[in-house]
Amino acid sequence: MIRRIAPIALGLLLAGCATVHPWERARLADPVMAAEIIPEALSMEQHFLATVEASAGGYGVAGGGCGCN
Amino acid sequence: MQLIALAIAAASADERVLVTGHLYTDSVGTLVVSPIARVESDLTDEVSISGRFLVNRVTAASRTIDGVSAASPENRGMGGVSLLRERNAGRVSGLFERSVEADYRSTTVGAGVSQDFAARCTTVDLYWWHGFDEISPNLTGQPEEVYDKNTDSLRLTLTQVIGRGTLMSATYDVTNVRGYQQNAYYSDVISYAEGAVITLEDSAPDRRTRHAVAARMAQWLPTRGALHPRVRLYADDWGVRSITGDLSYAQHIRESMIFTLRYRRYQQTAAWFYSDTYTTADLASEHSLDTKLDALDSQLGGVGISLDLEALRKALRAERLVSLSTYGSYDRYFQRHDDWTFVANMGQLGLATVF
Repeated sequence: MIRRIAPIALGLLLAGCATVHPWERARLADPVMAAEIIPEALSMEQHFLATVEASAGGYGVAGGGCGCN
Repeated sequence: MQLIALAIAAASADERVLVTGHLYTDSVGTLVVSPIARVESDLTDEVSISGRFLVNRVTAASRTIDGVSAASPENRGMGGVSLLRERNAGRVSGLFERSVEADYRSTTVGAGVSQDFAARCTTVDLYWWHGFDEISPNLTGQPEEVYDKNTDSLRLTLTQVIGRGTLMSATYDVTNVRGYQQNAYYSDVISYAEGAVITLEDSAPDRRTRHAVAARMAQWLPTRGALHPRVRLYADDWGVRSITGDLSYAQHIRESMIFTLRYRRYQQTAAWFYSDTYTTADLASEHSLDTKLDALDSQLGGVGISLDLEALRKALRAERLVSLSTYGSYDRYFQRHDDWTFVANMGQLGLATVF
């Protein structure tokens, strides 16, 4: 399943590429666009989930250039 | 509390301090209290350092809650330091962490590079970490053999600006684990027809390769809110397959207040060697009673709030503080197996300041 979906997701990601200038990034920089609004929440949740579920990984970074940090 | 006080006292100009209290309870009587402190400081214009300290106090544990440990009340201490260098459109980072508890010692080193492209509309991030764990199960109250576990993990993330209010990112993780991976605190008795009995302990393969791919989106809404859908697929060579769907919503209530709602749904298949009871056939192969390797379905729902305390900062005339904010969250977790259900509650309350 991963082999089928990964190329599709990657294709959609690259196909939507747009140039957004720095002065057009107010919305991207708003705190509500951040992946984790509550600090430390993700690491504590991942620590808990690793003790009760068998999966791990897949939680990437927000990306510095997007203006969302 | 001493740890938190120490972290605050250590802060000086241009430093950020974050203290959090984390509380966990579940339906089998476990209670975990975790104070966490993080201190960040700019060493130069390009380089920053951060330290993170955490203590877990586990009480009334009747099942595993902290890796292979927590068979009885105990403490866990963790400390780490990370360095980040940002220059132009690139970042380089390094990490060292050490975690210690009675039967489990873990050391992690990590390094990452991140680079922006296309007028900072595209970011590629590559991160590697290595974990070296020493596990010493304490089943009899006497010191026992120490087992090793080594983990190598590589993560590639691509983040893309799609428009003025839309972001997408995709992540691929591959992790290779070698060494002791069973849960020493699971054991059961099997008996033969002649009446002889034997106690079997969990036994897991000593190698595991894990793959995860995930996609996330952040979409701005005209209500001054944002939607965050996320999907993750996972597979490993123990036979576990899982899918995770996650949707969160963040909304400005006022300029200084953000409210969040979250829902997560997760389903997994069982590992090939999982069974809810041992049999004589298990004498010759791997076998596990560890319920996290069972087929299961879980749901998580949560609420959170983040509040900028600018008015309080001014009222207190705390001119040394550049900013002051607080946050809190509550999550409830349900896990369903064929014939039983597990429920957990997680809450946290924190305070963040910039000096």
